[in-house]
Order: sequence, then C-alpha cells, then structure tokens
Amino acid sequence: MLINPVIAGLTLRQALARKRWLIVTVLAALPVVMAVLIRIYAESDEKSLADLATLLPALNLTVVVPIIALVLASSSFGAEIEDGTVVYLLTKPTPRSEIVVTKLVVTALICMVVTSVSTVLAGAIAMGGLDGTGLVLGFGAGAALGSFLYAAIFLALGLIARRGLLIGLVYIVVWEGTLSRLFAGTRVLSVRQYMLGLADAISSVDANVFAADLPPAKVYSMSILVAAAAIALCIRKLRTFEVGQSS
Amino acid sequence: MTVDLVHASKWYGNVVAVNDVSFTLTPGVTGLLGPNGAGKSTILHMIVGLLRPSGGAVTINGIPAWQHPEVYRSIGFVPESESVYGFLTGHEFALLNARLHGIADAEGAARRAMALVELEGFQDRPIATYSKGMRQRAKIAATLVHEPAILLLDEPFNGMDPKQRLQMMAVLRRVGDDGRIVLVSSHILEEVDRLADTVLVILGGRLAASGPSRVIRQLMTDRPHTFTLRSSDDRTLAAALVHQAATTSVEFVSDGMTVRTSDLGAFTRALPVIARDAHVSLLEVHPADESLESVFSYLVDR
Repeated sequence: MLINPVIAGLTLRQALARKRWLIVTVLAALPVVMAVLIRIYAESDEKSLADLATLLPALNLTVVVPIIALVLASSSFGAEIEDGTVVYLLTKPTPRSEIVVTKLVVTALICMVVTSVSTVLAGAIAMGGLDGTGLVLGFGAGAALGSFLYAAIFLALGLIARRGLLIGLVYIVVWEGTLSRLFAGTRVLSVRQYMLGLADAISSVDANVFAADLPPAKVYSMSILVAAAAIALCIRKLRTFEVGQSS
Repeated sequence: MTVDLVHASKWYGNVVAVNDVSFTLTPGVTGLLGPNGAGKSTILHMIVGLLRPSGGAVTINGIPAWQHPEVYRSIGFVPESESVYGFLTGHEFALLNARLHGIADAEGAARRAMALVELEGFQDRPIATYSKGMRQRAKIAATLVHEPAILLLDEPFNGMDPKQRLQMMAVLRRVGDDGRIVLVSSHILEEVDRLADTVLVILGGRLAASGPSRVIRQLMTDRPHTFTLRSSDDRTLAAALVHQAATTSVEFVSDGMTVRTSDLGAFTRALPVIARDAHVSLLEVHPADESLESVFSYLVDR
C-alpha cells in the first residue's frame, strides 16, 4: 500500500493548522474578486476573454498556484524538520516511500482542488458562464498540473534545504517569474510554461488572444520527468535523513 | 534484545561529537550521564538510526536502525525537543503513534499508555495547553503504545518540577523492571543515580566511566573534596580539624579557611561534632568544587 491513511490524516491537519487555511483562502479568492470587476466593467465577450487570457496566467498561474503549493508543502517536511516533530514520523516502521507518496498526494490534492476551482470560478464569473473556446477549463487544468508539480518540488525543497520557504519564494519570483520569460532556453524547465502549454493544448482559442511557447508533447514529457525526479529525490533524501543534532 | 555500540564515532567535518564509544545495553534502566554537549544526544540519535555513525557500528539485535525502519517495531524514542503536534489532544497523539505502528487495538493501546503516565484525566485536551511536565509524559506515553523492548529518552526530566520528576522516575522504573532496556540521558548526577542500575559517563564524546550506579557514585564521592569554612574562631577549629584523619590540609584564606578531605562521608559527619566540642560556631560551610564539571574531570583524570 502506497498511501498511509494515518499519515494522510495528519498531513491534512498540519496543512490547515496555524491559520494556513486562511492564507490559502485569501489567495484563492483574489482571482474571483478580479473576475467580478471584469464582469462589472465588461464591454464585450471578446474583450472579457482577452482580459481573462491576461489575468489568469499572470495572477493564478504565476502567483496563486505556486504560493498556495509553497504554503501547504512547507507545512509538511519543512516545518516538521524545523520544530523536530518529524522524529515521530521517522521512528516508525513505515517505508519511507509510503511517507513521501502520502504527503505528496494529500498536499497536491488540496492544492489542485483549491487552485482549479479558483481559476474556473473566476473564468466563469468573468464570462458569465464557460467560454466556447475551452480557455477557462484549460487554465483550470493548467492550475491543477502546476499544483501537483509545485507540491512535489516544494516537498523536496523542504527536505533538502533548511530555509525551504525562503528559497521557494526566490525560485518563484526569480526563476518562474523572470528568467523563464526572458530566455527561451529556460522555458523547457519552467512549471509555469507547462501550465500555459496545457491550457493552450486544451483550448481552441485564437492565437491572438492566447498562445503558449511550449508544444504539448514537451509539456507532457517534461511534467512527468519533473514529477518523477522530485518524488525520487524526496524518497532518497528521507531514507538518508539525519536529524540535525550535534550535542 | 541487545543494543550494541562497537567503536562508534560521529564527526561533523572537523568536529568530533562522539569518539570511539563501545558498550552493550542490557535489560533494566541505564543512565547516560554527562555535561551538556558531551555527545549524549548524538549517541541516542545513532542508536535510533536518526544519525549515521561516521565510524564503527551501532546495532539493535545485530541490525542497524539506520535505513532499517522495521527495527522501530522494538524501539521507542523520546526526543528532547518539546515540540509535538500541538493541535492534537494527548489521546489523539498516542493514538496516532499506535496507528503508525499498525497496532490492532490502537484505541486500547493509547488509553493504556496514557493511564501508565497518569494523564487519563487530561487526555482530551490539546497538547498545546499542557504544562512542560505533562508534555513530557504525553511524549513518553506516545512512545510506549507499541510496548517497545527498548526505550530511549533524551533528557526526559528537563522542565519538570520535583514532584513530576519522582512520578516520571516511577514510570521509568516500572518499564525497566518489566525486563525492557531503558536508556535515559541526563546531565544531573542525582537523577541518574536514583533511577539507573547501570551508569555510562560520557565526557567530550568519549565513554569516561561505566558500571553499576553504586560504583559510579563511589567514584564520584570517594575523592578529595574541598570545603570553604567560616566560623566564630577559625584557628581553634583548624587545630581541632587537623587531628582528624580525614583532613588532608587546612589553609587560611582572606575570609575563612579552605579544608581538604580525603573522605567526604567521615568529614561531613565529624565536622559538627568537632565544632561543638571546640565551642566554635560554624557560620558557613561551602563545598568548593561540587560542580559536575569537576566531578567529571576528576573521573577522567584517574
């Protein structure tokens, strides 16, 4: 069995403890508020769709998805290592792969549900229903994909680095936010580009309104590769994890 | 069940935390005694497999805990760190540990463990609202749920008041008398002396002494002791003290005198009698070197 129900329950409670649910709710509500504004000042359906094609990638995929994934994922290994409670998990006869997979599945599922609902709801409000091109659903699927990948990456980061939260933020802003937009060569290593690629692959929207840089084949293969690498790294790290004690 | 350390060492870069330590643990309570930073915690973490030994071998029944999680079926480890899942109640915390161990009757095991540490009355309160002593006991209950053959505790008495200490000692004694291996680290001689059958003294990452606690206590008390005395008439008292066989030297200092003795017990018993017979009032009696540090360095120098 790869999913441990006891660890799953614990992970869920950890994710929502210490007012994390509040941060997550506020972040998820942000695009919905913006969508209401688009709806109020809507001139035409085309204009609203174009607004959405700017808003959802810029706000949901660049800010909401990675930050929610970071907040929830760092509650798992990162925070546990910092306060020492990870010892209670590690001194159990549970295979380390089971711990990693359970934590990832629970964390990723919460992120995927929250971010895709936030994205699709924002799109539906702005357009007064789902658009005919499938763009809103595409962004929703992109958000779900990004949630899973970011959750895996940030879980691994929590095991590797002491200041996982800080490094995660720097990664989101510097790598995902800036470098992968400036240089074409780094796009293939950007979760944000995978999300955009998936949205583009699903929707039939005109290229003037929205187009992604990565072809679908690359999006799928790279997503699988990144997820597999992050999970393998987590398991390997946890197997040889040393609790920092020097006295 | 045995726990074996064979030339176990742990170093971090150039810093040696544990240096060539060998011992075997047997059923009963063993005390791991040493000042802070001596390497007690590192030794415990190596036994539990939370640190990889840099050299030598650390095994439980011949199998290292490092990278062998199945060994945890027979180990319970109580870390020094106070942090627990504060959002859980004491009962939920014990239950969580029981379930993670895959115990069939997890509910019953959790209740029994909470009763053993006398926390039944508080088991439905969140641990975040517990006092330090209660938290320690909740941690111990959580590690007793699977009735481990080996129980390791890192400074379990920290933050406890004297009453809680006695309670905890009784709990650990009960576990030790049950035929389990119990290893308790502490930097306080009295705690270990009262609790443990066997004592391991760790200093500077090395095993400085080991043996039955009676022998270790003797090693620590049968050594030259120095007292600083102040009395109504120092010179008269000094003259009377010099006649005592246990007195090795008397020296006058600016504010009183320093007396050295080779036999602590005989000297402390004789001192009030001598003072009374000499019609001298004792104003102050100070053990000059009772700090643990001096006791340990004395042990190591032998």
